[in-house]
Amino acid sequence: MLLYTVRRLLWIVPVLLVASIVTFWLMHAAPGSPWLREGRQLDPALVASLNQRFALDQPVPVQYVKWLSNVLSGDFGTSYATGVLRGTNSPFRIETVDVAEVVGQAFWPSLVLGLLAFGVAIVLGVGLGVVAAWNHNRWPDHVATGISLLGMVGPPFLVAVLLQLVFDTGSIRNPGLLPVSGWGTPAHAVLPTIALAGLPMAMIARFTRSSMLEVLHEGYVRTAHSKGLAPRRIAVVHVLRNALIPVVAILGPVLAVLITSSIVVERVFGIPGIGSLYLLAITSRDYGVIMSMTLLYTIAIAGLNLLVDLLYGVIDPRIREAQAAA
Amino acid sequence: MTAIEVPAEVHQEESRGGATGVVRGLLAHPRGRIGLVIVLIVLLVAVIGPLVVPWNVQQLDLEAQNANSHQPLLPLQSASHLLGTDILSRDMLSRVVSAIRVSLLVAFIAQVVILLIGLPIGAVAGWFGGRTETLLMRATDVVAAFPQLVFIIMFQVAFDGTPFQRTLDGLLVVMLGIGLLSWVVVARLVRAEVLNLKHRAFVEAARALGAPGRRILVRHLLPNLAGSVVVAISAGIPAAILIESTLSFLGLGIQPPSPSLGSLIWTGTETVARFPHLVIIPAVPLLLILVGFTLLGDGLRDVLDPRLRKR
Repeated sequence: MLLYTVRRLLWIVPVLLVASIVTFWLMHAAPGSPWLREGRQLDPALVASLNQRFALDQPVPVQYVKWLSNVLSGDFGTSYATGVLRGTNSPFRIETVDVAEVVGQAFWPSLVLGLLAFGVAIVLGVGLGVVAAWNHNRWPDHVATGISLLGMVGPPFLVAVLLQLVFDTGSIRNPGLLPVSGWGTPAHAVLPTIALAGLPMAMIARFTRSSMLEVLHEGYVRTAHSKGLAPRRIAVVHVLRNALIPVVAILGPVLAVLITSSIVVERVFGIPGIGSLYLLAITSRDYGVIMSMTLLYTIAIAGLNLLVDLLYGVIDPRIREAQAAA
Repeated sequence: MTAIEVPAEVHQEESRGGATGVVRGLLAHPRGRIGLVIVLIVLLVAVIGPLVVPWNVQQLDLEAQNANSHQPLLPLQSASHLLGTDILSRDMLSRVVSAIRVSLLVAFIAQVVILLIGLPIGAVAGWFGGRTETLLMRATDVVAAFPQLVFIIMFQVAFDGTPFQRTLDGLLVVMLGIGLLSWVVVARLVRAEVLNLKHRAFVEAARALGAPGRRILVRHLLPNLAGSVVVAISAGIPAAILIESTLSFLGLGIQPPSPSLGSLIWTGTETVARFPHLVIIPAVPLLLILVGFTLLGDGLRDVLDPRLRKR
């Protein structure tokens, strides 16, 4: 178990290395510079001196090695987009902000939103899946399957836009309904949570349903029935507990979907989270922020996947054996 | 020696009458049937739609614009614009039909890219084994660990505004971006299938008779892979459409003048409170396409892969 954990943790290192090299290269291949955006006109001499100050005039591999050694010593660099540049000629004054600070601020709204959506997705997803399987091929099954099909195919950005549409046009006639953009009060979190939870909920519901159906045909469930146990007791003790074990295994992909769809959902609802920050960084060529966000996303997804796999091993001894043997 | 002809064996489950058998299976599958019908309608619209719509996607109807004091026409408000017009008085029907074609084109060609990368990597890894396999599968694992959307976005940005991106209004970069980050599933699947097939009697027989490796691969392995690859590809189509529309929604995918369902929805959100129809009109076909391909994919999986067909 320990060996397995260590090996999986070490495996994240080459993934991060490749991911950071690819991103660094793509990012610098992109035309434009952090200084010349939104049609801003700057004196070429100023641009040159800015580039020199932030070492952007050096070859990309050299910049990468420098960035990597800085990151390893805990320095994530400067955010070019959030810093304020005064004057259009040298000498200039620049007030810089650390990338760590910018990302740190944006992290909390995203974490809150992500946890809320994850919670909603688990509760509703398992609920729908159980109802569907328990009423296999009867109308509750069809309703639940229909809902999860909609969640499965509804692109998160479209769900977000449609929710906004309903509540935006609604609030013209009836002001005081849920706010359709911004962040701060609990009411602001309602619509983004729904938009973000849809797809993960559908994934969990589909998987729970098929896992439940499989368990319902197991020998020990038939035995429980023939012993004359109450159906409710069989459902909870024998079926649900066993059916939910494999559901844990798909929480990894579910979390990955949740994290990447938050980029668009935050954008639509104007939430100052890491998704909005990432899109802003990309359009303003804020190199330091782009790199840190790539690392953050890659670590989050790889780390959560590892966590889910370990949790799966803790719950199911058969998986633990397989992990130890591998 | 000259190789003796060994009849290529295609194993039982997948050969039931080839394509007609698959279609018959789909028609008997309740959800697959609905999916097939939706997909056929959508394909019809995408292929012949742009030829029959009355307006060019970029054409401004100045007459309607003046008559309606620079407001978009509502659906059915004018006989010449069945679905109304956008803010700039361009025909919505023409734009949506053209956007459907763009979305499907991207999704289909992205699957070709996925096959061109995933198939050889999986086949070589499975067939040769050893160090080649370890190397290829490790590389696959690395790509699989990338946050997909983040890297596809990054790929778009790298070519932002370059002539390469402007080729075909961004279509090329979107297709490549999706393909380069989505081949992992196909590669893993093909490797597993080749590993499974490689020691089957009919392959051993072909090898014992001196058939060259390439012939075994093409005549004996690929036909048996077709079923599961088709299943993977049919699941890949809605996934690609989802990514393309998301990118276009963010302004990073298909570029004007080509409309895309994602970019139409984004444009619509700017005036959503006054003209909700500008969001709803492109949203309906997008949802329909995704439902259609998802159902068809489910159907194909059940028909082509009987191991999964338990219920």
